[in-house]
Amino acid sequence: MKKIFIYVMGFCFLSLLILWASEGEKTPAAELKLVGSFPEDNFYFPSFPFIDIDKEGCIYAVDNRKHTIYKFDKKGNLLAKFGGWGQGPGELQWPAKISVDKKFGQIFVKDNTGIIMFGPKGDFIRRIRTFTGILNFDVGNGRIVTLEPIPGKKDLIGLYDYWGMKIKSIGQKYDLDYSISKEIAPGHLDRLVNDGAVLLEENYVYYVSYVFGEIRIYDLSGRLISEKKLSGPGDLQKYREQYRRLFFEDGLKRNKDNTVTGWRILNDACLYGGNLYLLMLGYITDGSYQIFIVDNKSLEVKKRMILPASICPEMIRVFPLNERSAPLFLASFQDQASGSCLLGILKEEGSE
Amino acid sequence: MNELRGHQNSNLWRCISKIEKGLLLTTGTILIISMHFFLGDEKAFLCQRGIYKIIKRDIDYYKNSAIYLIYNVNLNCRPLLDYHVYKSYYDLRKIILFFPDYSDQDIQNFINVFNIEGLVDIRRMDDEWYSVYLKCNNNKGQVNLNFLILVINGRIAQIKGF
Repeated sequence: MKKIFIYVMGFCFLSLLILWASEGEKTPAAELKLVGSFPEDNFYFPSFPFIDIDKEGCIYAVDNRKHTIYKFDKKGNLLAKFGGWGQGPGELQWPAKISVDKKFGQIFVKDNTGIIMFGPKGDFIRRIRTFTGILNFDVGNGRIVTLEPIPGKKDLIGLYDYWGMKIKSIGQKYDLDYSISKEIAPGHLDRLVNDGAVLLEENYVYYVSYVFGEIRIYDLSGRLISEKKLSGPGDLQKYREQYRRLFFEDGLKRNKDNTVTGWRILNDACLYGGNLYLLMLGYITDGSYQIFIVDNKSLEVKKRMILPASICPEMIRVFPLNERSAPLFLASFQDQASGSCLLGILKEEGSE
Repeated sequence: MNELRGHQNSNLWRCISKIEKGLLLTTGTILIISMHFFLGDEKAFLCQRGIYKIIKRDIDYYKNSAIYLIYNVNLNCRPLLDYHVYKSYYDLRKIILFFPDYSDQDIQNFINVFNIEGLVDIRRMDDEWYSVYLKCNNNKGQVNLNFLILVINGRIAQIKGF
């Protein structure tokens, strides 16, 4: 009797283990195909362009090396360009992240000096200086949310208005023991461990950790509403644990050429139509890059989109379409064959 | 006539020995290099002279002061040089001058982020200070530096770019 009981218990335990292990695989998956890429003749991006899309579906791409912002239509035709190197009104110095206000169309670009605000036609409005070394940011409803792990402070996220007035600090940084990574300055360590995306939606701020694949939701008063560790296929759990050990137990070291490796599970994240879209690196699943579609309330993974093996994407955005349509993606990627940095339109295999 | 002159010049060059030619070329090279350094120093000289001009006009105000000319700083990679040291020197006037396009909000963010407390004079550069900044920022516009000017007993003790 006792033996039978042990066998039954063992069977149940094994079944649970298999179920848990295959949780990620159960998430429905679909293949994405590249339906177009640009720019083509006589125009190239020397590095990955930073991208965003406005409410009309126009594409904005930031060329970091040419200090310029390009505006394309959906077909990849160049509509306008603005910016350029300099310190004067509307000029940029090493621009990076871009975010477009989805309601009123103002364009915000982060560069070495702060965040520069342009009107929908590329006319300079103002420069906003935060002095915090912004890692990432998002805009909407008259608010700017910035990921700014400040050395010596616990704050993680800053909330500003469009005039640059700081309204509030939200969230907390990962609590590191800096002494275990002596080779790297605390400020740099903060930037590495807190690397991620901040996303703004109505009355909520989302923080997505690229390093640990964790999502936190805060309300605008700074209260933590919900948090979840992303679960999925492949070695996600293994890498998360490895990075946790690296940052919190073993310590980070400089490479032989004095550089420091950034450790990531995710490459990018965006919010659209009640979903979070997370771009997962290919080596986590030992295959192609994947987009995880996560419900923005329950934080459950609803679907996985597998990207073509021929591309290495750095950023993704979703085109505004009606709710019934299958999502259409814009990706900033490197073509494996040619090595070129391009913008590509991707859609689900078999969708309209 | 011109052809004749050219002919005479080429004859002159042929007349001098190889050693003399070498000496002439070396002298020319040294002259060019010296000119280059002189012009570089001239810019630094103009920077210093510009600062003195402002200081002397209001010597009581600037007599012992740490003057920051700020283009862009941030907590992560371009901190406010030595401010943590000078903020406790109560007999040293702290003056922070920002680029002319700083908004009131930018200045407020700066005060909050760098915890600027106590008697610190904070304002934007006027035309004169801006023109001095441009003379001090001697790097052909590629990188805009910030400057710390330390004035002790009415004399410039140090100008540091950061």
